[in-house]
Amino acid sequence: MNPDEDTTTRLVVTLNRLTSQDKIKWAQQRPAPIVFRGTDDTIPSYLTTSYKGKRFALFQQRYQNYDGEHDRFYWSDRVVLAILDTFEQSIIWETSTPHAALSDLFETARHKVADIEGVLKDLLADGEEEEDEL
Amino acid sequence: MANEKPQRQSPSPAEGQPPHSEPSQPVVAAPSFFPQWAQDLNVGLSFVGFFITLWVLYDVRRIRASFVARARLPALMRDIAKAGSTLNGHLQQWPEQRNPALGQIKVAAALLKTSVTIAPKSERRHLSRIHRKLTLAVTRASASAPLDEEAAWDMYSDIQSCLTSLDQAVKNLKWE
Repeated sequence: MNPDEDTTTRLVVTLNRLTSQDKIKWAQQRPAPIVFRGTDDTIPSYLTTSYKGKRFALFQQRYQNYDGEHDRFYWSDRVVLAILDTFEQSIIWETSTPHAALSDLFETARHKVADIEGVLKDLLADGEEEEDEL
Repeated sequence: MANEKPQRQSPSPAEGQPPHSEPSQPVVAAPSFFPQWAQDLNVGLSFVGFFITLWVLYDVRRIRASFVARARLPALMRDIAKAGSTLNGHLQQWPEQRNPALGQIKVAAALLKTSVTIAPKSERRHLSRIHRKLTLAVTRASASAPLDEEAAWDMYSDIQSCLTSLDQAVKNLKWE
């Protein structure tokens, strides 16, 4: 296997693990202009975090592909992991592979940002209070 | 007696030959339409043809394996990726989801075993090593020595590295 791909895979898995163990916190924010400037892409979800002095951005990118056989454009999406400079003015490095590991990282980060566990706990707590009142 | 005609004596047999046997006649082959050099060339080309047949047999098997890999590997990759994603979900709720995580590792190990037989030779060593590692971890995990989170994440990382290898193998197969 290509050493660069192996390193990227290990980086993505490490970020996934640190996210899962709450050692790094992702935050939802507006996409940095540099990410989509000069493209027709749509960024429906954009998460950022800082780790060891690096600014990481994890986002879902919807882009258009061209189908030459039918002469039409169609939408596709992918997850991209990027390292930005401190002021988010330029992209130092980005990758959209490995697909499976990046998708898992994105799901983990989104899960933590949305705080699904907390929402469920609140809903269940509200349900218990209503039962107590009755 | 004087009037007796001298008896004609048969020639004495040559040394080494049995008595009273006729001398052996050399075997003369039927005349061939082709000259000798053409016949020698025919025999030589037959040997060459035999080795070419062996090479064609080997190449046909290699091409067949390539087609099988091209057809089966993408589906196998999707299944392994699904097992990896499910494992990732279980890892988020460790240690409550320890047993389901172990189940997914078993599933991934079984899928990797299939992929080892189908993948190109360049990837088999790596896949085989990961498969052995997963199988060993699953075998060793028991009630007295349960799987710990570090080892589970390590195996998740190995599964992802296998997916990266298979992805490159599939891309290479498109050019064969």
